[in-house]
Amino acid sequence: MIRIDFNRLRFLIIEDNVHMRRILRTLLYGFGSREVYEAEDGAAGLEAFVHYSPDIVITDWAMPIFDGLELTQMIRQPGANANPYVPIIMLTGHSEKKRVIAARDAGVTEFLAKPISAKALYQRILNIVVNPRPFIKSKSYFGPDRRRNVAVNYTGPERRKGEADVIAQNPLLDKVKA
Amino acid sequence: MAEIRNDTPGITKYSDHEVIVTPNRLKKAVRRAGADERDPIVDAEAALVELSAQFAIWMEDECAELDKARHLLHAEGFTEATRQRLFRAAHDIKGHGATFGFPIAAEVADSLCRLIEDGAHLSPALFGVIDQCVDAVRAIIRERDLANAERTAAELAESLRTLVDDLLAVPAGEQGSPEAATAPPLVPAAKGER
Repeated sequence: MIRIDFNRLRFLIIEDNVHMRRILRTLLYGFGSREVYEAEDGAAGLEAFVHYSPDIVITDWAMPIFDGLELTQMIRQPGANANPYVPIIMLTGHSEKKRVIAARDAGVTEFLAKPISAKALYQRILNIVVNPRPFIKSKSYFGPDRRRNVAVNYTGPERRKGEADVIAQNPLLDKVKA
Repeated sequence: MAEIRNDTPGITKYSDHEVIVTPNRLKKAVRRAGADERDPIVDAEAALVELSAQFAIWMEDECAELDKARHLLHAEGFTEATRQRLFRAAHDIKGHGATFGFPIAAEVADSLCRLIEDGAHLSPALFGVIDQCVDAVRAIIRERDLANAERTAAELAESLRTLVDDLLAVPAGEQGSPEAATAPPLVPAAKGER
């Protein structure tokens, strides 16, 4: 079994609700984190992101000034900041499919629907750390590879030109198990 | 001060896209679990239990914000600002209710969110339904210690969900004075209120 040393990771929580920030902070400290920074809206979140250079960003969707989706799009601007590849967990009460797709297309790494639990949050972080996905850059998208699995029964056209297969990945989990 | 990192990603170019493999900077945090090591999820859940004594108070705070947003809506009518404020307050309760131990209040808040979000055609006649949802959330929190509170709350949530479903199923422009919107409230007012 593998473990994550949370005390070696730096987190940024961007959430306008003070109670949910407290819950998230409590969970992360419970996992063993020591470096947890907070911001209460998208604008402050972007500033904190540039200043603290977090390893993982956890952001709410619905926030004043600009929301979590807009924040994600700003972070995922190649060349606009030090780390456009930072893993982003979108935390939201919106769980409808169209919302999940919108978050994915904005470049979110993981989606976590409220109500949250310690287990669900831990699993998202574990997946980010041990199964990092490559990034795709095209005219219309920049973000983590949206193809998580090989659809063996897929018979439609290949939308990516010059490539027919999912990029082979080498999950850290396999290395650790080996 | 932000740390300067010199990780160079590997880039493979295709005709219409690039695949970028970045060095996994987070692998520094991965290790094998030691024997008899505590489960971090259990530790985090225990920390949450310690915090849970405050959940009811937090929920009352969120109810107070929902009530303020409702009164602002009545005072200023449907504007983008009043709609956003009410939606955000309802959305918070929808998202946090279950975490704070009030899943049925979260269900009612979900109905309220749908009413606000899908109700671009909302007319003042629907203020009554909004009031019923807000009052229901407040009653569920306020009366949580009463006998049969959970059953009553569940019935209330179901009634409001059905009511909102029916309203949203009506084509735009035909909500002028729906019977449900003008019916007596489902939720009894607290002592000293309206």
